[in-house]
Amino acid sequence: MRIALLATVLAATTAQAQSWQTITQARRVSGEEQLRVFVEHGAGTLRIHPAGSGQLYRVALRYDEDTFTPRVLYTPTSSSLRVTMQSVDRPGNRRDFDWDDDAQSLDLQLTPDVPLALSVRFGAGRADVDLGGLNIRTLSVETGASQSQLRFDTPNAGSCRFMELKVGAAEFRAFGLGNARCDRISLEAGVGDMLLDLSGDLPEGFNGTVSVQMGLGGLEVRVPEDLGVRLNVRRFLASVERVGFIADGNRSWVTPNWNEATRKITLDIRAVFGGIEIVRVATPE
Amino acid sequence: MRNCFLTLTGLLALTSGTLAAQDAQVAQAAQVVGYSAQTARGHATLDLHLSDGTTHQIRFRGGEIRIGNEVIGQYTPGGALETAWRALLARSDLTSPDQMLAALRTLPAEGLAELDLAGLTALYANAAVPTAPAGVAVPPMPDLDAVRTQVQNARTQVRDAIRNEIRNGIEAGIESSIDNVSPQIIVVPRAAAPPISSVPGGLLALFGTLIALSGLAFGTSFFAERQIDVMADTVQHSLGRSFFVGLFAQPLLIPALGALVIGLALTVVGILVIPFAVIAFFALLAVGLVGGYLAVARATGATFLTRRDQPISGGMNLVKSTIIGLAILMALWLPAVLFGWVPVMGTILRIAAGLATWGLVTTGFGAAILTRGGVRGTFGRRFAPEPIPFSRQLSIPDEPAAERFSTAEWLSGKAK
Repeated sequence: MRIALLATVLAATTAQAQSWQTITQARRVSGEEQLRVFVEHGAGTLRIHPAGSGQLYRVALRYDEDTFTPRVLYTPTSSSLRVTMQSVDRPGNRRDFDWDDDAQSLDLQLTPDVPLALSVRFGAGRADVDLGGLNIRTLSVETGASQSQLRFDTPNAGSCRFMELKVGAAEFRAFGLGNARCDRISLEAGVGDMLLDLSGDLPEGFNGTVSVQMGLGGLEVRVPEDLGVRLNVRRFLASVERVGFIADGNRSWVTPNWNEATRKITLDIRAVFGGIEIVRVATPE
Repeated sequence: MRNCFLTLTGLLALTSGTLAAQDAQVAQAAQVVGYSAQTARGHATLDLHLSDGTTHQIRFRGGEIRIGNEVIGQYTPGGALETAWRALLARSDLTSPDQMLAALRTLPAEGLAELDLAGLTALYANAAVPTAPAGVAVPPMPDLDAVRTQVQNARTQVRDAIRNEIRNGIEAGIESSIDNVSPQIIVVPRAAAPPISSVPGGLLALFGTLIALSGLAFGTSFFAERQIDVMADTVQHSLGRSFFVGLFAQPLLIPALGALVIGLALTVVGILVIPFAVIAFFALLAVGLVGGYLAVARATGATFLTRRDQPISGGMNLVKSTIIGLAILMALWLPAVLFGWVPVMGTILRIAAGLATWGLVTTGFGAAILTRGGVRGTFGRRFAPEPIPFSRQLSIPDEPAAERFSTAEWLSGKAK
């Protein structure tokens, strides 16, 4: 009801002309040992991808000046980059902003040469985050009502300690998480449609944990067939499809290759409502 | 500032040959390691971040070109130079500081007005344009003197052409202008209205609402007098119950509509009726809300009249009491209308009036539900037994009247 009312109000409101401006900032690598990056993007499109060699970062931000005040701040002493957008505190400006407009965008390129601690908070809109080939140490991604895609097309250049994913009411898809090589991956999902694809180039002897807490919605977890998977499930009114798993104690299942697999993942799932499907996919040649 | 800039970066490029040695010297001291380019409505700024941690800024703002805090030249706001500068800062294909440094050389000098050309000259001459690092292809600097000569020649040619044009065609032009002249409409912009000017409009809106609701009250007095009366009685005698019933009913409205639609859909045959059922649902809802509000107004007006010993029923008294009640309820909005333009307090008053009206509508809606639209009078009167006639309280038929004793007499034994 509220959404319908809001949509009606938004449709009825005559949108003011938006003033699109840009900020571009770039920096060369100059001896940084690590780079801490904090990105907060409220609305629009977000794209994060690798930069060219020798380049520390590049930020290209297009924003509506009447609605948002951007801030791009790099602190050399701590090697930290903050990209944020604060809403301009003016009556009606958020109402007049066209939230479906893709014209507001943030394009962020990050260095593959320096270890990264990346934290991304994303509100509404579309996000395409390709971190393949970067040197991710820690990763935190929070999305609101968005359509987000996280990809690791190529293996992580370093060792990733943990990856935290917090998804509100969103469509969230993560591909190639195996390439991230994170010891621990956690997903907290509210409402929405989620996909976790754990395929990728995991090192021999890898033994990681993926924990999922889900409120309401659908979750598909894709695991390569050659991966040994232990599945621990605690659920309330949620269905779990686990074709190809065999029971191993109460609320636990394992893949038949669990004992002999050289790369293993323990999958802890806690779900309240919704459907969860664990799919074993063929390992790419 | 200018000297500092030269010393640190060796950025002067206009006579790059004379400064080549200095460039090479200072390039070892500090290099451009990053840049930040921002366009905004009021300015277009380029920050060059140096390896020693300092930042040098080139800013176009308000017709002035600044390096740091120093004004080094001027430009035409909205002119060709500013447009080119903004386009440069917004370029998406520049991915590194080196590319930005190289691109700074590409600011076009051709076609610039005199002021812009002077500004661009000052920009280059005051070391605002840095040299690019070795290995980066740098376009040659524009020959600004040649461009300046071209601009002056072009301006002379245009001026002569215009003068000739005017001289040759002035008579024909005047006649043509007289034939085609049309009354000029001068639009005088209206001054911004002061906030207090919203008061008369608000009062009119309030009065209009009162008139509209009074019309509804008048109409209902003909065909729903009893129903309004029953609901008003329920509001008076079961005020809390009515409010809470209305309160709890509100979140159930959408589920009820959903259940109605699903129920009709399940019967298959009822699918055809769904549009009508939805319309009927909202019509009933509107009737319940408006009728309930009128009932609250009736109850308020009746209370007002009763306290003045005036009749509340019979004749047009229903309409009278309802209109008086509506006036009282509408008066809740008077402070919000009168002082709504006052910052903060106006908002508070509007919220207070809205909350009060919501409470009254909720109560009326609850009364409408309790009375099934004014049909059931169960909650209209509290249970009270018929009063026993006084004579029956003192005497029993066919029996002698009981001798009455006071407590003192009974205790003293007289009662025996």
